[in-house]
This record gives sequence, C-alpha cells and structure tokens, in this order.
Amino acid sequence: MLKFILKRMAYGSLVILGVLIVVFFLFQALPGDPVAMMAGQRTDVSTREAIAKDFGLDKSLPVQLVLYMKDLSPIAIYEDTPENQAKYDYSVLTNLGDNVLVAKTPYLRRSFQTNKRVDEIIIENLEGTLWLAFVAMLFATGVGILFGLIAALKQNTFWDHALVSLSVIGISAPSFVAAIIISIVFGYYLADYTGLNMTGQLWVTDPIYGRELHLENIILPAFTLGIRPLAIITQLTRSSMLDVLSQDYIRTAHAKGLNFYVIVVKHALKNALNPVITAVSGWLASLMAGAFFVEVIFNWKGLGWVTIKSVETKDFPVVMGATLFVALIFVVVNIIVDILYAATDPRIRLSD
Amino acid sequence: MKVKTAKNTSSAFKKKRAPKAAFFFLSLVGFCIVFADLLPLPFSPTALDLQHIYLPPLQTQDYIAGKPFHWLGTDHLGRDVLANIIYGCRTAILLSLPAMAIASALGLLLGGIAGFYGNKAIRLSITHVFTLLLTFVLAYYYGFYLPEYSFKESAVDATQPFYLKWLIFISILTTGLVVSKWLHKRILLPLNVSIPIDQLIMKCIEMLSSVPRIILILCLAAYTRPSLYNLILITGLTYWTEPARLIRAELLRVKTLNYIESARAMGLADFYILIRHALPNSLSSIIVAITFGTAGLISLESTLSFLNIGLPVDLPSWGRMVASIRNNFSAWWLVLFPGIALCSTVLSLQAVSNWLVYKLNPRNR
Amino acid sequence: MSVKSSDKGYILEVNNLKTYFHTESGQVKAVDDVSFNLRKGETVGIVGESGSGKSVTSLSLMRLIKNPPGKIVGGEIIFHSPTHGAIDLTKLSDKEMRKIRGNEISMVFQEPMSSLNPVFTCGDQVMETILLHQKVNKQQAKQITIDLFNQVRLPRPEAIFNSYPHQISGGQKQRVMIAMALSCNPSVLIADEPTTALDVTVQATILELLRDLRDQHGTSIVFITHDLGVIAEIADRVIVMYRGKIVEQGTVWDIFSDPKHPYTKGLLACRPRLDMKMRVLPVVSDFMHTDALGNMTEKAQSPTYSSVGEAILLNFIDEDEIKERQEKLLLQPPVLQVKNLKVSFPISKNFFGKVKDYVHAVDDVSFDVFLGETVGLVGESGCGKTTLGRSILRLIEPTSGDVYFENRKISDYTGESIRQLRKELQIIFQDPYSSLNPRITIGEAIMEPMRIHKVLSNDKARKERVIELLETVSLRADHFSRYPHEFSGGQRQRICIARTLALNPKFIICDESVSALDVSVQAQVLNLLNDLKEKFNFTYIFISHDLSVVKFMADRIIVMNKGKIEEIGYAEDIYTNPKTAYTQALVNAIPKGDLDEIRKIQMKRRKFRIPVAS
Repeated sequence: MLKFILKRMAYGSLVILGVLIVVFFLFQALPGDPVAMMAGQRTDVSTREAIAKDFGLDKSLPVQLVLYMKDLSPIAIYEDTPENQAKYDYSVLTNLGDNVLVAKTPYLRRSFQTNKRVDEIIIENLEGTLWLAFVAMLFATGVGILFGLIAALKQNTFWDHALVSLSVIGISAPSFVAAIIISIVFGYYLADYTGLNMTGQLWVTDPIYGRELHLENIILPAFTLGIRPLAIITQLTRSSMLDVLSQDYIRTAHAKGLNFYVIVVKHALKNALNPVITAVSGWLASLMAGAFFVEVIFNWKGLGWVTIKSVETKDFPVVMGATLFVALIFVVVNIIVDILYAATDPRIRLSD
Repeated sequence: MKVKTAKNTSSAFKKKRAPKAAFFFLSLVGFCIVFADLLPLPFSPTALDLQHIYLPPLQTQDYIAGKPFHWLGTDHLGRDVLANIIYGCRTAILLSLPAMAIASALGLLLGGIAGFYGNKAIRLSITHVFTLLLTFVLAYYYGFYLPEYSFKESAVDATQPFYLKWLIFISILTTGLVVSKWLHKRILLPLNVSIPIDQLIMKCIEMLSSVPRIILILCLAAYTRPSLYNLILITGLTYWTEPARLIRAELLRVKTLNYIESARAMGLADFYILIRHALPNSLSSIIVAITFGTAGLISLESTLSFLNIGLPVDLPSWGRMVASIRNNFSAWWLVLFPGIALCSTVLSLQAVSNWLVYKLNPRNR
Repeated sequence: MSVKSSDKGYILEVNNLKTYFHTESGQVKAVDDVSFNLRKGETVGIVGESGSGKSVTSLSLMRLIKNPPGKIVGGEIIFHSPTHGAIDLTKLSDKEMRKIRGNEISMVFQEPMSSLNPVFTCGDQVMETILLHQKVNKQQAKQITIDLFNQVRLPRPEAIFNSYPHQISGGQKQRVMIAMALSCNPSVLIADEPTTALDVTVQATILELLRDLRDQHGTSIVFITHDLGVIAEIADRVIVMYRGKIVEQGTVWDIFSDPKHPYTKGLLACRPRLDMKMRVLPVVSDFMHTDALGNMTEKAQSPTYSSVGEAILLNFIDEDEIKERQEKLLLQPPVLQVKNLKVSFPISKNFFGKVKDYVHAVDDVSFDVFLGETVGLVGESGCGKTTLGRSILRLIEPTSGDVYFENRKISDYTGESIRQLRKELQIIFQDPYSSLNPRITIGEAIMEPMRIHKVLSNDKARKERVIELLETVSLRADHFSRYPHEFSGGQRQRICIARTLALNPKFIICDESVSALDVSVQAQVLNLLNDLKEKFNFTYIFISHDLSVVKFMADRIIVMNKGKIEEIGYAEDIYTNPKTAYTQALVNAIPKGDLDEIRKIQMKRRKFRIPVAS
C-alpha cells in the first residue's frame, strides 16, 4: 500500500512538472509583448529593461524556464542580496559561500495590474471557490446517489423515466444558460419569496457591522454548479446499481434469505459506488472549471472569477499562476482518489 | 438459463419518436445554416434598431402589415432576436463541426495508436531511433534555429518565406530517413527497442487534461485576435483528448475479444485488423464521443460569445444574445429563445447519436 | 392453505411447476409442467443441456426467479419443513420465504468466482447468514463459521475467515459457499452446477466433500449438472430434462443401465468414453428426431442404433487397429518440432518498473508432432496448455526455445512471413461466441482470410468455395449473408471451422474448441473434426481440459502440469498405465459414469441410507 502511494505520488509530481513546462511554453507562445503590458504608460527604455531583467525576459527560453522553475521551487539557492530577500521573502537554511540555500513559498511573480504577489491573490480567492465546489459536490453527490438509487430500484417505472430524462437535460444544458436562468428566476423574479440575491459574496464587508458571513449567498451558485454533476451521478449510480444488482453475489445474498433493503444497502451499494467515486473525483477538477462561469455570473469572488478578470485585463502572471494551481489541485485530488479507491476495493490492492 | 432483460431504451427507439423529432430539429438547423441568406427575414442579424431596444416578443399591437416587425423582440441594441437565432445556428455549427473534425481526427489517430499498439507492439531498431533522433535535431537546428539567428544578424529581410524553413527541415528529415534505412541494412544491429507509445500518449493526455480545458481555451482565446479560424484551431487542438481516451479504452476492450486474436491467427496484418475489425466495433463509442464533443463545442461557442472572449463581436450568436440580459433582467425572451435553441440542438444531437448506436448493432437491423 | 402432510418421507414435492419468461421475442416456457419429489436424505440429480430449464427449476424452488422477466405461473412446491410443517413455497409471502431461504433450504451456485461479494471477507459473508437465522451473538457466530470452515476442509480456517474472495482459489471459494449453505443445517440443499467451473481434480474433492457432509447430516440434495458422469458419482435418482420438460426419471442404476427415452439414450451414448476407442461418436439425432416446434419422436423406423450398447459396439475400434495406426504414424517425418520452448510473464515489478519475478507459463517444453497425427494436450487450468498453443503460432512471443514447422524455424519469421505461416498453421478457439466479429456476415468472415492470402483468383470463385465449405460443415448456402448472432454455439463453432478450412491449412491447433458446447453438440463437432481429418489429412494439436475428449481424438497425449510436460504417451497407455502420480490423479478424478463404478458408489451409499424406501 505504501509502495502504491509512493509510486502514485512520484508519478503525480512528474505530471506536475510536465504541466509546468506546458504552461510555461504556452504563455511564451502567446502573442503580445509582456514588457509592454507591464510597463503600461511608462515606455522609456530604462524602465522596460528593468522589467525585462526582473522577469528574466532578456534571457533565452530554456534559461527562462529554469529561472521560472527556480522561482517555483520551495527550496533553492540564491545570491544573498536584499533585493532577492525582498523579492522572494525566503528564510535561510544554510550559507554556501556567497549564496544561500533557502526555503520559501513558491514565488509565482507579481500581478501586472496590482503588483501583488500572485500566490497571495490565489490564496485570497481560493476560499470562495473551495466552499462553492465543496457545497456543490456535497449536494450533487448526496442527491445524485439518492436519485440514481431510486431510478435503479424502480427501473422502467415512471420515476425511473422521469429521473433519467431530467438527468439528460441536466447534462446537456450549458452551464452559463443554467446559471443565468437560475440567478434571474430565483434571485430576481422570485426574490420576494426566496429572499436570495442574484449575486453576492460569502463574506460581505458592511461599512457598519464589518465583515459578515452570508451563507445564503452560496445556495444559488452551488445549486447551479451542482446540476451537471448531479445529473451525471444520477445516471452513473443508476447504471452501476443495475449492473451490480444483476451480479451473482446479489443472488447469493437473496439465497441467504436477506431482506431486500439489507441487500441493497450492504451488498450492492458498496460495490456500486466505486465507479461513482472515481467519476465524482474526476469531476472535481472539471467542477472548478465549471465554477468559472458560475463565479462570473453570480459575481462570486473565487479563483475562477479572478482568472477571468485577469484574462480580460491580460494580467498573465495571475492567469499562469491560477492555471498551475488548478492543475496542482487536479493532480493531488487524483492521487487522493486513487488511494481512496484502493482503500475501498480490496481487489485493487494486490493488482498494483 | 440466461434471459436478456428488455432494455428500457429499445422500446423508445422502436416507437422512434425521440429520434424523429431530433432529426426534424437538426434538419431545421441545417436548413437555417444553408439558406439563412435567402430567408425573407425582416431584419439582418447585425442591423441595429435603436428606437426599439428591449422590445418584448409578439407585440402584436405594433404590427403593421408590410412593415418589418420584430417577431421575437430585440436586445439592448435593438437587434432582432429571430434573425440572430437563425444566423446563430451558423456560427455554432461553423465553429463546432470543423473543430470537432480536427479533434476527432487527432483523437482517433492518437487514441487508436495508443489503444491498439499498446506499449510493446511498435518496435524500432536502435539504429533507426538513433539516426532519426540525430537528424531531427540537425533538421531543427538548420531549418529553424540557424536561419532565425543568421537572418537577424545579417539584417536581411527577416520576413523570409516560412516555407523555406519547412523545406530545409523536411528535406533533412527525409535524408535522415533514407540514411537510417541504409544503415539498418548495413549494420544490422540486432537490438530492438519497443516504443512505449501508449504511455507517451497517455502522459500527454493527462498533462493536457490537468490544465482545465476551459482556462486553456480562455487564455488562448484571450491572447489571440478574436476570429473564428483561431478558435477552431484552438478548440480542435485541445478537444482531442476526450475522443482519444475513449477510443483507447474501447480498443483495449475490443482487443481482448477473441475475434481479434482469431483474425491475427488468420494471418491478417495488424493495421488491417485495426481498420476492419477493431474500429467498426468501437464505432458506437466513436459516435458518442463525436456527437457529445460537438454538443460540448456548441455550448462552448455560446459560452465564449456570452463572455465576449475569442469571437468577433459582430458575429451573430446565441450566447451573445443571452449576454444582453445582464443589463435588463426583465428581458426574459433574451434567455428563453436562444436557450431553447441551444438546449434543443444539444439534446437532438444526443438523441441522434443514441439512435445511431442502436441502429449500428447488427441485432437491431 | 390446505396441504396434506406426506407420509411417504418426502421433504419436497414439486407438482406441475411452470416458470415462464416474457421476453421481447415472446414467451419462453423455461420450466413447463415439471413434477418430481425429493425424499428425506435423498440426492436427486437433474441433468440436461443448456436451455433444458434445469437451472430455472432450481431457482424456482428458491423463488429466486427475477420478475420481470420471469414468473412462476403455475404448480406448487410443497416443502415439508421440520419447523413449519408442510407449506407451499409458491404461496408464501416474501417475508415468509426469506425465513426459509438460507435457513431450511439453501443453495450453492455454479460460479464460485462471482457468487461471493468481493468487498466483504469470506468469514463475514458466512457469519451474516448465521446471524440472520440463528439466535447467537457475533462471537458465537464466528466460532460456528470457523467450525464450518473446518468441516468443509478449508486449510487455515482462521486465515480464510479474514480473506477476501479474490485472495483464495476457486475450489476454496466453492468450499466457502458450501459452508455458507450448510451454516444453518438446511434440510434441503440445492446445488446448481457446483463443480462445473472447477478443475476435474478439484471437482472430485468437492464431490467427495458433498457426499461426506450429506451422509453425516442426512441433508437432502437437489444436484443440477450437465454432466452425466458427475450425476453417477453423487445422485440416488436422476431426472433428465429437455426443453423445460422432464423426459425421464428413475434411479441412477436404471437410467444408466436401461434408458427408456431416446434423448437419454443419445445423451449417454454421445459422451466420449475413457475405456475404449471409438471411431465415431453416436449423437442424439441417431436416436431421436426433433421437429421445428421442439417435439421429439423416437426414430422408430430404421434407427441408427437401437440401444446405447449397440451404438458403442458398432463404433468400437479394436486394439490391433490402434497398434497398426500407431506404428504407421512414427514412420512419418515430424511436421512440427518444439524444442525447449519457454514462455514467461512478468508478475511483479519493483519500484522502477524493473521486473522482479516471472511466472513460467510454459517451462522448457519439447515434443514432436508427426504428419497426420492428432496430439492431445491435456492439463488443468493454468497448466500452460493454452499459452503453449498460442506460442507455437507466435500469437504470444516465446521467451526462449525454438519451434520448427516443416523444418523451418518459426522464431526467425518476421512480419509478412509470419502471416504466410499462419495460413498453413491454423487455430480454432474455445469460445465460438466471441471468435466471430458480430458486425460481419459469416460469408464475409470466411471469405476475408481467403482474400488476404489470395486463395482463388476472384471473389466469385471464393464465394462458391465458401458455400462449399459451409455445406462441408453441415450449414446451408443461404447462411452466407447472416450475422453471427443468428446462430447457436455449435453452429458458430462450425463456422469457425469452415473459416479455418478456407485457407487449406496443413496443421490445426484446436484450443478447447468444444469446451463451451453441450455434450450432444460436442459429439457432432468432434465427429466433424475427425471426418475432415480423414478427408484432408490434417495434423492436429487438440488442447482440452477434458481427458475423455482428448482420448477420443488423439493418437498421443501430452499431459501438462505447471508449465512442464508431465508425461507423453499413446492415448491408451496414458489411461491404462499412467506413469506419473499426477496423471494417475487426473485419470482417477474423472467421473467414469460406467455401471461398475455406479454399483460401487451405490453399495457404499447403502450403508448410510438404511431407512430409504426403494
């Protein structure tokens, strides 16, 4: 098991390295002069050169890549200068002559627009996205498994057909249309009954009462975000449940004289949920991507919201940082899921 | 004794209601795409009618026979909703079909190779690998790297024809190929290495899909000039992972079936088996991948034009229409009509794909 | 309910049971008006081929028929329960039925691999039944379970208690299933093909276990199987089923010594026999005639054989003839030589993907095959016989060693020449269902390899040849444009044979080619293979797990065990005079099903069944 985890982690870090290189070259290949973007109005040559030097833009591509990776590495070697100290905010581990071996938080450079450190921007906005994704997933998994179970157990009845049809619509409706409709219907037309806002934040800073938690603001975006996973989980649970219910060991359980509900809950569900778990975890990452539109439409401050804002203003260190960060989450989640999967299914433990 | 239970889908298909409706709707869309210019529409989709902004649909009291009339209302610039919906079909299909064609061609090829050949089936001799690697480096150096620098320094016109670089590149590569064949015959190094082609492609896919595709497209679309052509390329080059993964999984399944092995035992060549036996039996998943991909791309087109990213502003689109509701929440028709058009197209595509999969099974003929 | 209690010692009375299935293509009468009884302590065997309704009968007894599509539409199943008295199982509520299931009537299924839930330990699954039906606490239930595991002779019961199903072997799983079924001391045990998925030596031990447990506990057993040999080993009485109906029932002795119904006669005659060499296997159609509706009539006028004994007598090959053939064969040049062939597969890798450990599927195997000979390759699952067959064709690459075909070294072949080789060296696979591409008509499927190898000059000539081939394997010309799913298993296997013949091969490897078929169909296909051999002078390697089938086909037999050749010899010698202990065990494990054997078993059984009314 430990070997499996180690192997999976080694493999995951390779993927992250690959992603890093892909993202780096992707943004290099983009047209547009980053120096001009950063410099803005100040177009004198010395400013431009200073910026170019700071970002290593005057060096060749491979060197730039190495510099970028050095920036990201949590342990690195630098010349011990006050500038570097200020730039990276590191703590020294050991002295190596002129250089120092340091530990630091990965340096994702600074925003063109606000000159804030990108990692700070990400952390600031991460909370909103995590809450949103978490609540949406909770809602989608809970309700989806329930719906899927109902559909499977009532196969070929009205309930089955209705739930399957609903899930087909849920899968195919584009998320921005769903988001707009839900925000307008519940946040505008029915606002008097629901008491919900069309847009809103988790934390609202009120001039009088200060920072306030507004939990009700998460309802609509989370619901919207959950629709598609909900529909998919419904269908997956249904088909997986139907498959498991036709297995020989379910017949064995019947032959033991077990109650139907014991069979469903104890014998079938545990087997049927494994494919659902994998799918759900696969969806977590896409959920963050889906969260982008939902965040924009509901004006929900999160990673997606800040990324789209940065795309619009061509603030590319932020976009790059956010992309890398999301990829990192994706890879980490996949590793965790693989391990969870191995833990729930005894057959997998031996095979790898 | 095994008795097959009736699948709930089959009865619906026997009545054929769903696929019939879907075919009807899709042919309507097709008609709009081809004949949009010939339709007697009262307004062009880009025509601004600033006197009638946010006009609700079917305001029959304003209707005067013979005069142009906004049947389905207007948006914030007075553009006609009906005309935009009809021309919006065109934009949606114009993006999704070519992009999906690129994506599925790439996906089929790479996924097919990965799934069918696996990690061990493709073997190359060391001589081949070595000479090819060497010539690739050489070709790149003389074809692209050197010209760039030499032209820069000699200050000759840097905008030399780009095909010259490609010409040098390809000619060096072909020479390398010929040399490696020749070397292979002469030296006869018995060492063969197997190319882990499956692993290579899968790693590629995993890396590409670790970066959420939407961000990738958003970034690329935001940085390139808004144009349909660019967007088709971008989406085509990023959407191939899904079909590739599906085809690979499907081929891995098909490959274990006995008739593939018996085809090999009959002495049929691998590539022939792939084309004649393996792919046709993966056809249903290929169809599903392509139709769902197309549906996804249609949604993407609307999403991008909704966000006003990557597509020219003057292109009529369903998403663009929906976007104008954000300035006036009571204009429900701006969401309803394009929303219906969008959802029906997507649903019809899925219904048709289900029907095709059903029909392709020889048992249902 | 008014059910008269039985005074004849019956525990189960099945009267006019009807179970129908509603499918898209109409109603299927899976069990059609079936009546039989089971006495206390008796073992009744139900025998029949696929589609005979024997499994549906057993599931109906447990009321485990899935509804829809299946339903018990008529009849009664009267169970004389020791606690509830006589009850009609068809009329019980679900809740009442659950108290019977697993408690008073329990069941062992065919597929031990899939009948245990993969996510629970074996111990948990057995304990579950005990906790459900008996008033004991967990500690006691665990003790009972371990005792049961001891009873069913599982090694290291405590360890198996905590093992997951995938960690133990197939035979062990079936023992766990038996422990589960016996956990509440049921009065009736229904065993639905409990040994079919197992190797023959494992089958023998499971049968022995069932016999011992039944004698100890006096359990009544309904034993369902397709194999008459197995029935003879365990049953007291036999019920023969055909297409949902009982065609004959009687004591084992009566059925085997004097079958009345033509179907029973056919079934008995068409089994390949170990004790003698037959020229042609009798088939069911020699004894009876079935019309399109499935009604059968005895071939009254000019029956090919009038009795089983006659059928055997007429086809018996005497020893001199066998000797003569054996001598002739060795004068031939060897057509295929296998020298020190090894095939290994990696089973575990270390952290960096370097292979640490191999399993040697084929381990240093050498033998020759002479022209016109049939070599039988026999062994239990996992012995490497299939891998050996495939590595000769290089469908699997051998790790080391050489194969010579007509004195050319096959391992030197590459690309194009391998494909040419495969034209001459053909293989017929085990599963006729998946060996044909479902999307290609059978005519195309047969024509395709001819086209690739340029057999005949144009498609018209090829088509004629295909039709000729179809007729050779007793199919019709109008089958040409049909799809595989329209054919039965036996027909498909014949299509595969026709496809093999299309290339005019010299050498054919039959890899378990008849294992998936019913005995009566198996006999037909075996006869066909022998006919073709006479006609075209093929050389065969015949791979099978079934020694009696191999013995019928082969001149010489190779016995394989754990990747190595255990013994090579003439078919007769392997049976009468096995040299190694393994071959000896293999021969002994095969259910003989002959009258001497039945007499012995019944004598032994008599001791335990003193109170039986005969």
